[in-house]
Amino acid sequence: MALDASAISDGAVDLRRAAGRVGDDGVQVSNGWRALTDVYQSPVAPVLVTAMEPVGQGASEMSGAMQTATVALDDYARAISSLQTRRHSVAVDAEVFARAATASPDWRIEPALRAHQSSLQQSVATLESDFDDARQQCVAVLDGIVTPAVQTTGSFASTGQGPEGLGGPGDGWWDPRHLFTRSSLDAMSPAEVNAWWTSLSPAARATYLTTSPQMIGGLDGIPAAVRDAANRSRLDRELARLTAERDAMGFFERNVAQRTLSDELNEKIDAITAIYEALRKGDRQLLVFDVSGREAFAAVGVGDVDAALNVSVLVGGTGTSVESGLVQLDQDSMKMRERAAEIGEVSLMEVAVVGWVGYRAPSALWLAHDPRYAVNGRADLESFVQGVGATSIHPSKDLNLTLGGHSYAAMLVTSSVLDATTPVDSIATYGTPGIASGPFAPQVDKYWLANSDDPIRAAVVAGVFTDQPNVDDGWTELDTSQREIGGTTYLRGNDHKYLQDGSMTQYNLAALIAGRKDLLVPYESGK
Amino acid sequence: MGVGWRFDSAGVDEVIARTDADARSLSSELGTVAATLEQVIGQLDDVVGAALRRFEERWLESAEAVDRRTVAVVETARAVVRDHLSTDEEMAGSFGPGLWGAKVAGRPFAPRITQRPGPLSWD
Repeated sequence: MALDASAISDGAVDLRRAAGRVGDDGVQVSNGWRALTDVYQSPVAPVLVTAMEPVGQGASEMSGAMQTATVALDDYARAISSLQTRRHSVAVDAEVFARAATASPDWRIEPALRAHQSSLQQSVATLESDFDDARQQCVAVLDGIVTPAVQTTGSFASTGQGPEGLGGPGDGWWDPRHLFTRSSLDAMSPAEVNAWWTSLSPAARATYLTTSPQMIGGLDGIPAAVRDAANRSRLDRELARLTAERDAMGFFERNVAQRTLSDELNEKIDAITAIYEALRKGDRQLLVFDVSGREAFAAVGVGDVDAALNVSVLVGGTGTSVESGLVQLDQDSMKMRERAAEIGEVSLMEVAVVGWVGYRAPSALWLAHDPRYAVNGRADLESFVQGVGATSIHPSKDLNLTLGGHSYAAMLVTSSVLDATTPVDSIATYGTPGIASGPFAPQVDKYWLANSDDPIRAAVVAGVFTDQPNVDDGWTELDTSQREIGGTTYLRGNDHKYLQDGSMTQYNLAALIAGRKDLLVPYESGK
Repeated sequence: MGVGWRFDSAGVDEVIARTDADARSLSSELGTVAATLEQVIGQLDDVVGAALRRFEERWLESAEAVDRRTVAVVETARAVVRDHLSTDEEMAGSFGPGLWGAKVAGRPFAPRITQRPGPLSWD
């Protein structure tokens, strides 16, 4: 079949224009529908008005998906055009060869003509191979495009529904968070996501970044710098949206009728403020940013996670949230990175430390018995570290990946290294009320730290917390007492704090993060 | 205290009519894209054409969902309007001249009557 590159290109232009109008019309439907609030107010009115929002959002995403398809078709048309030009040259060359061969009956034994023939065969083979490549690249992009899942069923504003039924899960409420949950990307492993992303043309990637930043920023397996750009691009918009939503609430709704929602909005606004504060310090990557649920989740990396040879993910424990804990965790991560580079005698570029607040932690210590927080957060942390392994520029055998869990997070990090495919090399738990039941992935080295005056240690001795790391199960306890090492005095770790700058606990964790297990100082019983 | 009531029947009708028109335009553009996709698929070789066909199927599924959702929301709004109007007439018939007050008879769409005599209004 003779392919017409300009016809394909023209078709792509037509599709792009029509898809643009789909997006515009969808937005018009949603925007126009909002005028309902001016003429109709009742307990179900907000639900009825909001129910149209996914139409605009869905149409906009469909438009974006089609734009990506047209970019792929354009790339393909250009490749075909180039190949056809080359084929024409080869055809002319073949004619020259044919004339020469006709004039020389013994051409098969003439070296120059045989070389010419061989060159022609090679050109034809390269043309065929390049055509296959162009085709496969186009197919890969088209097959990778996600189209939005817009729900069409639900009794979101049935006339028999009272105000108490508004907006709750299971009430037929259409939630934009459900978009993409059925997508093929969601079902992919981080390694598969990474393979898909690297198969896209630069234009297709740019289109995804522009049209679907929420999806790209949240996908484990997408390169860290891309996730960072996608997540940052949403901060201003989300802050404005949440603030507007909060400010639209009247005094009564804010303080009485919808107090919980009001509190959640305020917490998310505070969370974004905290993220801004961390990012302002520079050399940061915003790897997770999710305010779609009841709580905000975020992960901020210090350094370049993909380029660093030594990467650590630090997870906060009981009481940690983005709004109240991210800034401190980020500060600790930065200091830990500097200490690791110093102890490991490597450049800062070779170390990256991520403060990960991607799960709902228990709010108080008395809830630290409950494994459900870890059970709920496990898949996300597992996937995140798998993503770090998939996007690193270093081979897995060279990458040194350490997972640190403070307090309740010990339960989470230990449960996330049960799978033998984890790319994690070492875990360290500190101030540990409990750990998951093994067996853990055999290649993972396990360490724990417990300050002598940590209330958790006393609670463990008193038998309050039972599932503890122990030497018999292959764990190594690291020292937390004051020591002088290489002319530097590292202070005794105190209380329930383990990441304090200049402490012995920081020293041991930093040595682990730097991949210098030879410098670890183990705990000495009775010292 | 609950959420305030306000119902401007003519205004609601206007919003519904305008959204209907917008939805028809959206539906028409979805059809245009589908037709253009068919033309482009016809220009392609089997391998890329099949990939675009797979994409088309997913895209049309989304298009149908968007279309159906738009219709469902508008139809629900019409049902809400009908409910309001019937409640209006029913309640208007149950009040005698000079009777007014907040009488919400346990119906989610029941109005709060704020003034009589004269036409009923929604607060």
